[in-house]
Amino acid sequence: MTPFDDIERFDELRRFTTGAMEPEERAQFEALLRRDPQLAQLAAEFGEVWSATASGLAPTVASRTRFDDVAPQLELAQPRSAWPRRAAAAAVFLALATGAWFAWHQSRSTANDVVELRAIPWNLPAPLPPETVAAPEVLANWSPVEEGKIRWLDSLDEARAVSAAVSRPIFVFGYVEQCPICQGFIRNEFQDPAILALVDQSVPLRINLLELDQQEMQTLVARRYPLLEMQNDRGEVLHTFGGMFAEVDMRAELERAVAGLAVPNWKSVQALGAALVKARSAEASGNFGEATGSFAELASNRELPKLAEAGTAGLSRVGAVAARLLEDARSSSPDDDVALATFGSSVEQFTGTPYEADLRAVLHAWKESGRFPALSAPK
Amino acid sequence: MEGSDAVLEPERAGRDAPSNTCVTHLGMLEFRALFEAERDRILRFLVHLTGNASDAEDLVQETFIAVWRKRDQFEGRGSAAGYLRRTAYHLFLNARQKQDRRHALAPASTEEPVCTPVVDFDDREAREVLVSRVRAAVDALPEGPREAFILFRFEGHSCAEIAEITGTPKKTVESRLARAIQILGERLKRQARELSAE
Repeated sequence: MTPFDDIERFDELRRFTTGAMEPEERAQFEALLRRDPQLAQLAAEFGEVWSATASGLAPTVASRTRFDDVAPQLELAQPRSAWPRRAAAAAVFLALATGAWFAWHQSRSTANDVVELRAIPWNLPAPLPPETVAAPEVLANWSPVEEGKIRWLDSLDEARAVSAAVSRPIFVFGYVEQCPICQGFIRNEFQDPAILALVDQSVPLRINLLELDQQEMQTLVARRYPLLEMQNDRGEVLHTFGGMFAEVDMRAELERAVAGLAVPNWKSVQALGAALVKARSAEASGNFGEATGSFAELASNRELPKLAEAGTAGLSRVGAVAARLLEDARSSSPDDDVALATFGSSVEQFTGTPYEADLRAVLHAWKESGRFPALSAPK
Repeated sequence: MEGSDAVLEPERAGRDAPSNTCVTHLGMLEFRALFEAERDRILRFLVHLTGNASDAEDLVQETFIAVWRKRDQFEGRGSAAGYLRRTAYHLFLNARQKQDRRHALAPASTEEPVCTPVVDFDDREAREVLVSRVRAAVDALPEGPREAFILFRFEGHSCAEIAEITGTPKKTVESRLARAIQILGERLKRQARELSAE
């Protein structure tokens, strides 16, 4: 049995030895040591070892490893980001293929009182999945730098929506129109091609500080004036530029702020932005064929995960609309000719979607039998 | 283009902010913030464990890559910084096991490590000598007590934190610490006796 067996006081001994105890706690501990010679011996031995090892094991060093050294291997190690998009693309393909087969099959069969649905999510409640991203429709025809000039966004909400969609930080420039320092940045730094190349990796936002309310302006100016910082899409500050007033190494600060980020392919971003605009417009006008085409394009893209999610959600939403259409038709009077006609015209909206075949099969059966058919859920 | 799905954590709360993020929610940009905040601390942690700056640098890279790769497996216990240390610790153990297998046939040193203080701490050379003596004394400890002592003495972790990092019960950590201090204490006394006999 050694003096240190069963001891549970190491954290306490350390605080005692290093003088970290509050005076009252220390007095109590010292009283305890006076009452307990064995503990006093332990404390003495602990103190000796503590003192003998005071030099440490190694000098403090800064790591030579840079994020750029690690980043390429991180890019290769993203198993979870690829498969949902592949799965979404595969699901779309599968739905289209089964839909086509079912249309062919139904056209060869006689009218049947039970229609077996292949694609419409009939057995599930059909809530409309919400939009997963705000509407950065500016993406369709915007990039941070065009023709040698920064194309500043002026709306914070818009900048945040773009930042969330493209996963790029927001480069915030808070300025005052008459301020010579701000004008100096605009005339010099923001014309420098090297700086423009760095801004191209962000979402540039300019804020006219005088247009803000007093308190908001003071909050921003307290961080830096002119305000130069990187924010995320939630408005949290990622990096505040060093230096006072005009004393800023803009290039070095931007390099720090975007180091390790790959340069976006803005042409590709614009194409996806256009697909999003098109999909939303088609969905809003009830042209679900065009909407699903564009949503499928978004869902299968590998560059912008947020827009891939928006595409997948859009496809689900159109499926839910189809399910609601069936539900509404079923709840109408069994022999209601108006309901049949309404259903028939609604089915046209789904031409070119994975749900078209299901809807046409129901329409066909309804017309043949004069009654809304029984439905069986997709297997 | 990389596929991050969120943006960095703020720096306004100091370098600790990203370390408190949940690993499962890490996007590439958040991960970069975590990297910048924790890189030097993880290096120091690994230098203490390995005693070799070069090996530690390699393990720093491996640690961050492993955490990124396995971020879905993080169970949400504690902070990202804690998860990094647990990962670094396990990578260190794996690396040492491989090294042990390679050197299994190498003769062990019979030289007694010395850990008596060098008095003149201002003298750079003396300090280096002392650091190397402490290193040798700590390295001569048995495996479990050695890691527990390093984390407690040089990394400043509490017994509960060491239990979390090493995945061992707190009671085990305490008994390992007791063992380490006992061995080092006996060594000090023996050396003091030898010095007085001379």
